[in-house]
Amino acid sequence: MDALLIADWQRANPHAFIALELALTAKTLRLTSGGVAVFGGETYGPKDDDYGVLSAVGSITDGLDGVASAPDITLMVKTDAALAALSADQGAFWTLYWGSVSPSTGAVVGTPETLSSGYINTITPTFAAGARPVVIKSYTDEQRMLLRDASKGWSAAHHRSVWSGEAGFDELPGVKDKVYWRANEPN
Amino acid sequence: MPIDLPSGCVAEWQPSLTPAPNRSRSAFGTNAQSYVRAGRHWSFSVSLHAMASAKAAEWSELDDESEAVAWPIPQDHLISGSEGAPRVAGGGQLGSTLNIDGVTAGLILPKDLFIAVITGGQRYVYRLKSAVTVSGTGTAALSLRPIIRAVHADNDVVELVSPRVEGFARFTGFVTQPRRGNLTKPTSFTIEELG
Repeated sequence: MDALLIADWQRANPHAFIALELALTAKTLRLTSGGVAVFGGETYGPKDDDYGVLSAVGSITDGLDGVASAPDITLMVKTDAALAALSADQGAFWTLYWGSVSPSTGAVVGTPETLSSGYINTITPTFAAGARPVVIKSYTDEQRMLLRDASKGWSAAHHRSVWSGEAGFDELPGVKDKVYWRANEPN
Repeated sequence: MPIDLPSGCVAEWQPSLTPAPNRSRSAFGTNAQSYVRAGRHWSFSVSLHAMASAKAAEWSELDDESEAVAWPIPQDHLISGSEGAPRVAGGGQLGSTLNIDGVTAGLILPKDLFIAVITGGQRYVYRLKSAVTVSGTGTAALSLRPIIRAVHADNDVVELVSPRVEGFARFTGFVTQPRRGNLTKPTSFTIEELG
């Protein structure tokens, strides 16, 4: 974490913000939880005329084996066109930041912490009393790293794909996997 | 554009900043921490005195469902006179200082004065942290709270003497008393800025 940001958190009343950058096909959406934040050469504002406001960020959990973080992001979308554009943009990359601004100058303090990043998976519009939140379900690179597929692994097939003709693994069906941090025990 | 509410008929009014700072206290009650969310804005609780039903009709847009409403902040006791044509002097200002120009030279803007900046058709209300006297060339550097929360453009209109707060009102309606000459009961509403 940025040293300047750490120092700012230690002040009496730091001014905090959450920022979302969402790279859609039509535009790159840059929203804050409130106020204006300028960092990385870009301006993040509190609302967008079409995509509305950032309403909620789901809990970002970490640390359990086999569990990757993929927080839900909720927008209060204003127009149907924006809703349609969001749902057509599966795979759009987003990044969440957590930072603070100086109350006297309005400048972002140091470098905002990157909380999480991922890709749009599904869009779920919901209808509630007095609100129309749109929940973005995501998948993340962290989840991809935990995927178990046939492409790479501790198997004879993969071993042969790298060293063709090397048959050393063919007779080793019971090699014990090392259990890496956050990987499930082999079945 | 929002619907303008009338002035007058106000018994009491109370401004407050929202959301409140996030304050936490240790389990021992001996230590505290606090942080503020950027993007705080104003909310006004307004009490109206009893009035004739014809007068109450002027306030009927309070529960309008289609538009935001704009209520004139009563601060005649703080400032009066001509403000000139105040404008934001330079776009993209952030932090707690806003430079303006076009103001009547020598005008004194007292501490606690509310002002409104109109950007993109929406008003943003701020309050002066300290008094300032407008320069001979009509410029002033206003010290504001909360901190600037939108990208105001150069030459955006600033309301100094008669600012309005703009937002959606929470209002339960007037109680009319037919046996008292259709006088309404005192009532109240809350108006919170849009963000």
